[in-house]
Amino acid sequence: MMNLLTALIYPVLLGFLVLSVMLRGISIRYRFLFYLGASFPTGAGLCSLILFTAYVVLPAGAKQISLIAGFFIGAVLLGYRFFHLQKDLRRSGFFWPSALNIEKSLFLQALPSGLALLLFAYTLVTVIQFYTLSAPMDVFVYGGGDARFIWALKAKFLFRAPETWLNMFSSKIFWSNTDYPLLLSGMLAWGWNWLGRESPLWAPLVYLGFYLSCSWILVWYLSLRISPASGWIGGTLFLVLMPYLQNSVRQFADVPVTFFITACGLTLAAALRSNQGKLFAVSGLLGGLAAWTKNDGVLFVGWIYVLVGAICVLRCLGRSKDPFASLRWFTLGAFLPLLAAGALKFFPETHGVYLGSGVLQKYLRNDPSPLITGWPRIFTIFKAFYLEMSRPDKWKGLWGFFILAVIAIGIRKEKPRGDYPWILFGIVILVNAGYVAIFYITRYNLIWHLRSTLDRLVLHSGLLALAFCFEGLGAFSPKFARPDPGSQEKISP
Amino acid sequence: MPETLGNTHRSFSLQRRGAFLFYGIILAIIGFSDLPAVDPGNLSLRDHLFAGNESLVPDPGSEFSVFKPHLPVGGAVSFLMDIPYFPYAPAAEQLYTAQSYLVPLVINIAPTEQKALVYCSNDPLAAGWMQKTGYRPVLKLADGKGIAEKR
Repeated sequence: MMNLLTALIYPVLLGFLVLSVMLRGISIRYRFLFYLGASFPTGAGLCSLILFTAYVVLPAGAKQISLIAGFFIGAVLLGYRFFHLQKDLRRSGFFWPSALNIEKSLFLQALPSGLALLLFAYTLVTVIQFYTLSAPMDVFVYGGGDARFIWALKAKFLFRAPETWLNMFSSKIFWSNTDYPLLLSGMLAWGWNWLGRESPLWAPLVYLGFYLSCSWILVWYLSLRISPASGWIGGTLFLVLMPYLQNSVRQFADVPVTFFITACGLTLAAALRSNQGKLFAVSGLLGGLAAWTKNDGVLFVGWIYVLVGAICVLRCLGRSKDPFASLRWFTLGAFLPLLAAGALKFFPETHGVYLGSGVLQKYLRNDPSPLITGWPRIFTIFKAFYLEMSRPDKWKGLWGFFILAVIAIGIRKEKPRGDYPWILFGIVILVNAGYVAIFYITRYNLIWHLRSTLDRLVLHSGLLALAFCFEGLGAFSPKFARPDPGSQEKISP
Repeated sequence: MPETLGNTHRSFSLQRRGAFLFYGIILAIIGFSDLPAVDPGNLSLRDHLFAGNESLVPDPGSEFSVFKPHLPVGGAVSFLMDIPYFPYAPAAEQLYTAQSYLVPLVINIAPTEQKALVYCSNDPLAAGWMQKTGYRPVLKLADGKGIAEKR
């Protein structure tokens, strides 16, 4: 067990170091919670990128190279942090770096906050207890079908045969979705390389890490935006939404990709409101890692580019100073994971279900009429979305609150400039509109495709919808807390 | 002007009341939420796993372990099963499980490789498929199961 924990701690440290370097010198409230939420997933993404690079460059020695390179990068980042820590401490006079300077308001400022924290802590312990009791069951310790036959399968190619790892892209095993990105498989293989064996407990630990990170990142955002009490209550509501817990137990990639979609969306919202370039870069990194987790993440990043691009154009028309800076920062952060996800598409024999499959060309070249006249198909898809989102046992009314939040924000009289109240709503709508389009052109039987994937696809935007509900319905005052640079922390090492 | 301020004040008040109601409903939802039941037997399994006894949960594909010594480590073999591969058929899971267990060996669903892993329910079915796809049995491991080679 100790070995497993050491394998888990390294990505947490690496993610923390990278994020703390990226966010150095900018103001962000409740930074501790942000690191708590984002460090492990970011570190997992970086570990898999290092591993992927090592396998591309020198497959025979990739296991050792990836571990050594990981340590080297960690050591360089640690050195950089210590070097600047001295400077920052001299300038700020803080004894502790602000990453460790936990703001008391998170816990004890008011009675509601303390009580909400207790509720969150109790639910967290209960959920972890449930997870550890469900995961060891003989089937679930290895996960559901996708976990075993896609993500762990690719990880086995990486771990067992580094010299011939490219066989995972063989068209002979096309059913394993050979063009899928490798964050999860890379992270599984990275842990096995560290441990020296295919430990069946490693995957459940990784998925638990992603699941808990989802709750922390929500708590961070809602604390920042509304109040710590809202944060703890929002985090607790996430913990009682069963689909996320059950999908984590079954080791589906949807909770990890949900984390990256949520974290990218929430940091993007915070970046737009505070206009801090480095936050855009962090948002870009998290969005890029969504694309490196699952092909759905590629679609998501595409939507984010559309959204940020539109905002940049509006800023340009409004004659803002350097209107495209946010797009540049975002791209800078997203560059490496997007490069890896893009490179995968050029490996020999990889072929996608949609990209490169000719499905779009079929419609556009041969008979484009179904794209215009397929109303019954559209109706079927919308009905399926309605039936899924209105299930109280799964969503506990979340999507009903979402509609109420739209109305509440729509009729709100006071809308501060630069507050972007619709940004989360926009992302939720775009993400689901993308899935509607995918179902529309699917080459599979539509009903089978909806039955087998829709419940998991709806998860992706669920946490952004939850945050939007709290923004719309849970704010006691129309004036939201703003991440005001310089007002909370003078120096943020 | 005072009328406008009054309207704004009413709006704030409405928002506050709405927020209280919202948190009340959310807390009720949280309070009434429950986790699915878990088999109490899992407790001892969990404790054993945490104690390092990982062999208690063997790989789900361990039924293919008998084939392993007779198959190449790398390369590719074909896979013959009761029905031809069809992605929606439950039988396809056997193929996926075999592939997952036998990595780095690649398993081809097309009967084109020199060697084939035969995984049928019984001998007559296996013989029929081998006949149809041009294979001859070289090793029998169980009823309907074994290794075959191209004729």
